[in-house]
Amino acid sequence: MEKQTQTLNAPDIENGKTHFGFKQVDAQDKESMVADVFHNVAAKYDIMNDVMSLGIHRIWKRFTIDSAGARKGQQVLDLAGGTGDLTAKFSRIVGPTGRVTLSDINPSMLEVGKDKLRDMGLVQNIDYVEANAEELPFPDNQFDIVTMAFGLRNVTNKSKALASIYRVLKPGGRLLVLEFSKPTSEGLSKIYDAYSFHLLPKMGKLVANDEESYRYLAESIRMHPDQETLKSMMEDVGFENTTYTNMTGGIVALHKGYKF
Amino acid sequence: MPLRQLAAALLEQGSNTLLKLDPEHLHLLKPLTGQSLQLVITPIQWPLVLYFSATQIDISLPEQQLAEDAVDCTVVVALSALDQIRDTNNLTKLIKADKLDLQGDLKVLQNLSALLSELDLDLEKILTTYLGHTPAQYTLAFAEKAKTMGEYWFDQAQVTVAEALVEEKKLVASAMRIALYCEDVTQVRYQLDRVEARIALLERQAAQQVEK
Repeated sequence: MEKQTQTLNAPDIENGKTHFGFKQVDAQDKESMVADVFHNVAAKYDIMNDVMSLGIHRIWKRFTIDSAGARKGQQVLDLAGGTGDLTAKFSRIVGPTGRVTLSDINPSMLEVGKDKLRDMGLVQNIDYVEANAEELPFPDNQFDIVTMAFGLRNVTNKSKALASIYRVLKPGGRLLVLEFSKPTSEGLSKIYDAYSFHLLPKMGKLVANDEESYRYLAESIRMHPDQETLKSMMEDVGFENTTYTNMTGGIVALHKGYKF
Repeated sequence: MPLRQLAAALLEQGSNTLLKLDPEHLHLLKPLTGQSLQLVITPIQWPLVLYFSATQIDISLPEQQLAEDAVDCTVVVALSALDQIRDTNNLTKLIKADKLDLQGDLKVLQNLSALLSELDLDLEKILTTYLGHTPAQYTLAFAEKAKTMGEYWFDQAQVTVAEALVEEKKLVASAMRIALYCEDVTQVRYQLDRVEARIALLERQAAQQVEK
């Protein structure tokens, strides 16, 4: 457990090396390693999310959608949108005059998302774009809202991704980052550690027959910046009125920042 | 855990489950597809936003009322008039009685009213699917009986409370009487103060005579 607290808030890249869970790897290799993990879990991603969080991830995502304040006719980018949970809701909120772009670096996840949304009858106002959050292939000032739910911790250079998001947001637009964070109480932190490092990989093995990928997910959560650090990172690239809301005792936090 | 979102999720799940029990639900949703309606119930002032799509209704419970241009139609309705908006013929009457305020596209509310009135939920058929024929019959008979009893108790309670209020009102002192009583109490307090001062003076005089 000592290792977990020591490594929290580690810088993204140092001497060409970065973290992949608790391992140090070449920065250039992380992208493909993360891609492998998500390629492995893509098919069972939704069911595992429900099992791992006891369905609470749906409430966290609802809170993100409500906090986004999306309106009819707006342009929304659901970054690292995976299987499209947020995209589905945004698609109905912005209506036929708006547009939602579901973007993910991983083609397997994007394919699962595309199939799921089409099965739900959502075809009219959704675009699918395979993209790296660090180098978004969109023009400046295009989106009213950008959301990134449980994706930022897998990005190799988080500051570069935040700057890229800032660029594609319209003035007045907002970014919402929903991500695992640091529990606010010591007691909860211990229970959470025990759950993540002992139970979660076993559940991964049982449900998705993939222990290693879920061990990585638990480790990557611990390596992700805590609430205050992420807030500062957002402010460093230009976001203003930056705030965060802890949910479920800080296990998850929603960061929100505006581009003015 | 965000309770508002949990409530919205449960409400959404319940509403869509009920909706899908009607085989014609896709047809009923068609006129509403792509539209949104905000319902604000007064005096609670909790907004409820409904987003209609081809297959379901998404429900959101925002903390504050959304701006008028965020949705197609905003309906502010008094709690007492909530069940009356199902019938679109009542709308003008309710607006005149200040129980209903409408902003935006009235057609959205009309379409929602039509959906609610045309929604065909055959409870017996639904329960039979889950419980079987006989338990479903018993459940419905029990529910009917409970409803009748509930209505009877409610009516009785209303009569009792109304009678009690009328009888109690007769016994309640008028505002004038209460004011006079307060004045009397104040006068007694002044008199008491004077008696206390007089006793203190007499005690001092008695003590001086004893010293002499």
